[in-house]
Amino acid sequence: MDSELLYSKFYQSLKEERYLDAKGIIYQAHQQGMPAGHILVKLVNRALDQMQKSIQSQAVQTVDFSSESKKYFECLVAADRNGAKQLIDEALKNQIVPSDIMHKIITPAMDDIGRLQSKEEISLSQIYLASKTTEEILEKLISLMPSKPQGIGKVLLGSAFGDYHSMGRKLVGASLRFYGFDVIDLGMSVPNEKFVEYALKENINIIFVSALLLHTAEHLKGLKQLLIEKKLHHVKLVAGGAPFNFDKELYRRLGCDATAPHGIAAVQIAKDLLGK
Amino acid sequence: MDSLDRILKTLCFKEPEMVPVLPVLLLQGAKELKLSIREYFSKHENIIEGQTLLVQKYGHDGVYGFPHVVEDVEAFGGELMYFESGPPSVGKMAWRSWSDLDKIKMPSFSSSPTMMRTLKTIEGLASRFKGQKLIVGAAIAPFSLPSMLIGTEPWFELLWEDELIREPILNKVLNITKNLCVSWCNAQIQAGADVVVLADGIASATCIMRNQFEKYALPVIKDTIHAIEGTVVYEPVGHIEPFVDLLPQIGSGLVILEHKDNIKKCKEALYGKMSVMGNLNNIEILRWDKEIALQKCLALLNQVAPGGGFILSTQGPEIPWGTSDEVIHAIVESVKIWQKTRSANG
Repeated sequence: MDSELLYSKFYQSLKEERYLDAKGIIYQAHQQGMPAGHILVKLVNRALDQMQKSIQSQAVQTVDFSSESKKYFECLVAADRNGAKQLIDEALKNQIVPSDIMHKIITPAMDDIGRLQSKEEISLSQIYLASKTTEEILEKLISLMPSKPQGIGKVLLGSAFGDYHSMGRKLVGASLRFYGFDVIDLGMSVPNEKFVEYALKENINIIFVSALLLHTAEHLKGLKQLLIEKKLHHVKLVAGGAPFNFDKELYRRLGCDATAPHGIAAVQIAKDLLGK
Repeated sequence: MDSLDRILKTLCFKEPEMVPVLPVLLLQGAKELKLSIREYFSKHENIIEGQTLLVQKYGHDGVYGFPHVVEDVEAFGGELMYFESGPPSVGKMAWRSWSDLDKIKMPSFSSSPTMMRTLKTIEGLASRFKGQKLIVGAAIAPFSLPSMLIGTEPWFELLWEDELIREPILNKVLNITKNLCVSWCNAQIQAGADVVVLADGIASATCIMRNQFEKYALPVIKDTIHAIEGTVVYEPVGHIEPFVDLLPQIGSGLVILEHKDNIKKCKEALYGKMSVMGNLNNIEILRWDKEIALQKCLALLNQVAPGGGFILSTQGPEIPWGTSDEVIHAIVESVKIWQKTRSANG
């Protein structure tokens, strides 16, 4: 048996705590004429080094970031923009990798913000600032990553025709981007024809439309009809904005497939519709 | 007892012979006159006629001298956009950045054709209805007006800005909007409005935190209401229940609640200090029929009408264009039905 195979079996025995087998492999190596020094360096020391690395790596993987995440959440709720940025800078200084910061510190905090939003226990100005702060931080983190995280799907977003309000739309866009969607934001007062044009051109499966005013929300009915006329039956239409929050049935009346009361809900709906 | 006595009695926390009802019908006059919304709002005579026809048709307790809730931006050079089936909205923002503040002079309502038309409307309505129906004027409250002049995002940004940057800008902005609001409300009262509604769309738990309400919104609301020479109705246009304990400080006798506010709890908390108005859902109303409308109104009346201090209405800002006639009739009729049932039950 060559020394590499012996090593592999030796390491596996140690890892699985089969110490008698490990002892047997040392004996076997000795029987094959391997010098004691070689046994020590090529089997024992090497295996112990690898065990140590493995333990260290597991320790890093299971580091508990809940305290940092809680602090980040608290900064967001208190609208402490500088505090949130300092906390992330500190994490970077402590060699925490950007993807861990994103997934283990920021994501749980944003999930909690979403939960507060669902229960209407957080004000719009807090949500706005939390979202803006996190977007700025993410931009920085992504620039530090070796490769840009791969998008999980492409969605189209815009304010209904005649609607010049943009804050709700931007918040939904920020949430979708944060959770990995590629978002094409067509901006304010988007004619129905433009939504359809982009759905065709960009091969879109979901259109999110935001409306603050009831009479602009009503344009969604026309958009649904236009999608049907263009045989885009597969394109799902999701509505959001104050009128849809006031009347939970309004989206159905306008022919939409779903309504997203806030950004986090929009993310879940997009995931469900795309089967992610 | 006429409408005005009925309202005064309930505001004094006594039960009138019938609960006052004020469906906020701002657009529907255009339908009565078979005009487009834009055309309807273009002449004060149209609105006077429209309001007259509406009050004759439905028999509610007030008339509205203001056309919509966004006209105040015109005093700052802001532009309005009109729609076929809904109220106008703010088009171009009057301010592009906070540095524009250095250039602006103190705005005046007299520079806005729409606002001047509102004064003529109120005068016309007063000549027809003074002492019988409640004549209602309106203005955007000073804390919320900036969001319509520069946008909600920059306004939120400013509220979260470092104190050294925030305070000088905030003080200057609120001073400007407060002055306009006070002079504009006083002009409406002089023209004949019995009350002015102060619409404060940013000053609710929907938009800001309690400490922000206390620090920024509350002081300017108090100062403004104190300087207005007439009765003010406060309309937060959002969820105000979490701040309801602070409301008696503002100096208004009546608050309009939204459908998410627990109106019974709010009334109990404010009873003897402020009356409540509301709080039918003005979006769901579109799919109600006569029966549902009646059922919703009676449930509301059972909860909060006893003991006075209540006016039946929708939440702000208005009843949508597409709401059916039978639903509006049912809302107004509900107070009569409720009263009859109450009397029959002793």
